[in-house]
Amino acid sequence: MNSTTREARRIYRSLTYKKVLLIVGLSIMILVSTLVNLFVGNADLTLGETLKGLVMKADAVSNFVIWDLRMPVAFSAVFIGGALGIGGCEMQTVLRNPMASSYTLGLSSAASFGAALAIVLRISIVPGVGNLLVTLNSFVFSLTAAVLIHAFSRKKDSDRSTLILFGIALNFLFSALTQILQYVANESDLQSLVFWSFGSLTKVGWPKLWVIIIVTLLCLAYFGKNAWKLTAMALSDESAQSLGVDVQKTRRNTILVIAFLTATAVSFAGTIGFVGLVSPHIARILCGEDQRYFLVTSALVGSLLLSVASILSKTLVPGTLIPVGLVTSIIGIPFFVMLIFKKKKGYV
Amino acid sequence: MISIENLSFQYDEHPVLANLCLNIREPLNIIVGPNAAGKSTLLKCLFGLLPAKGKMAWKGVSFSEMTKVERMDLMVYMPQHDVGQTALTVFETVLLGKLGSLSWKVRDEDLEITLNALKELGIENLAKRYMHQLSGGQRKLVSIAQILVREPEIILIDEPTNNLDMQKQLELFTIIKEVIAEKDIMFVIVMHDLNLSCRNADSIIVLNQGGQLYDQGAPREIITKKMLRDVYGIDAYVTVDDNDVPLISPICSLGKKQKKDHYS
Repeated sequence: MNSTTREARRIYRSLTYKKVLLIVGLSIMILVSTLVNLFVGNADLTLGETLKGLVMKADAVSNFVIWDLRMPVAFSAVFIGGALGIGGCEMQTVLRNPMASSYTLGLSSAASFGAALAIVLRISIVPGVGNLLVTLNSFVFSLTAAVLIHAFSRKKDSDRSTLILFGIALNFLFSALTQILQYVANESDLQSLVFWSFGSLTKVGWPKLWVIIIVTLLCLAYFGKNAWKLTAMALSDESAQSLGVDVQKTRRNTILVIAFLTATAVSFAGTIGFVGLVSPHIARILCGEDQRYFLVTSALVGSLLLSVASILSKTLVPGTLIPVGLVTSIIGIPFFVMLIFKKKKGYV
Repeated sequence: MISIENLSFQYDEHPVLANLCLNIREPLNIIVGPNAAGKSTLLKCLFGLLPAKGKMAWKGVSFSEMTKVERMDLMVYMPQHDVGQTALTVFETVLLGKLGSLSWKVRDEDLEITLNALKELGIENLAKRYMHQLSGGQRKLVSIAQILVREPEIILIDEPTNNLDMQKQLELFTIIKEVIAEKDIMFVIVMHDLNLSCRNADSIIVLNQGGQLYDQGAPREIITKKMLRDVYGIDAYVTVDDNDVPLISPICSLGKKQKKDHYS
């Protein structure tokens, strides 16, 4: 090996080793927060009882609380947080816009409308689904929005700004439609509709959790496979094109995959704000935009944020479970303001 | 040699290039012409970003016979606007030039080529800096390094001296000439600054409004009072310095009306 190769390797290593450390560190923090998440909750379990429950040696009630109530919440915090982090990271990359998140293009308001249709009018898109009516409806509507965006972005002259504007238009459309339903809904439907839109991890049980885990990992693998292409997208459309990236196609497909991921997360847990917006910003500051690390770090930051928010939602007001979506928004707002006043890496 | 025959392109019925015929054969070719003469469009058509009608060929091989990958290997295009304010380090940005061969594990060869390109341009000390920490001139050099790692035969650059101070403009051409001296690469560059073009170009290609070739050749032959009047619609003194390089000193515009008369 000659000296240039050695030197090049040294530079490259010095760029990457910190990022690897960062990923290891975040993973450990997520592990810790997940454990803590298992130990806090409304049911009065002592430390010892929880430990016993974890190894399945406690009484049936404690086992149930640990395995069927707390564990799905703890894990869905990690994976839904990760999904939102991934979605936000890629949305900000392909739209090259610091305000983008998985919800930017109206995907979540479409999901809300789907849920509202199910709750208020009991109209199902997929017949004979029973309990899954609300979930499936919101999923289908979210994907419908995605397909509309996909079709729109196939237009020859559509670019980032027209896409964002189209997304905003969809957002307004679905919000208005939801409001109409709210207007005609009776009191109890209205209440469940409002509760649905809060965003909460308690409605995710084991079966849904598995779906989320699989979808999140699949999408992570898809984006990971395209990591360098997506890194090139961060430069500029023309630069990426001159490097040989089919910019429009990459953007279109990325949005479709994000939509699938977001639709899954939103239909199972409702809208959980700010995680998707904030995680990529934190990740960018910590490790830059080399997608191999940026993507993973965004996912991990998202996981950690939602995991911590989930703990807070159980402990902030003792004895009361605050919907986790409210907690993330309340943590998110100060951060959002900070973001506006501080110069951020990458988007100045 | 790049040969272009009957190249036409139009944006929404509005012709930008009309039956352009042109041979490009010198190492350093500079395309000049007024606004809307289709200079940038010509570069994009050559690179394949815009679908144009007509024939284009390199050393006798038609572009239409090449695969997309072959064409990408043959030439690179550096857009007018540079790579932007990303949170990527200089090393990562230049490494992206090797996009075709990059995977999760980066090969040693690609790392080495990247470092060599940085060294060639004397910016290896910037390797770990973020792109958004650089000045405009430094970012231009990074863009050029990114192009060099691709080891093309033709380099197309759109207005590289935009937003650069005079020293940086001159240094940029020094670097381009060094690259030409070392490697067998053809540069096709779009420029607005005629004096800078005259000093550096082996061949100047003048495009007329409407995307037609007005004239082409060595600066001394091309830059004339008549050309400036016909193409740019200006009155100017043209003198020649000791190195036989023409110098232009513009006097005044001949006005829109008069300019139109020249075309009719």
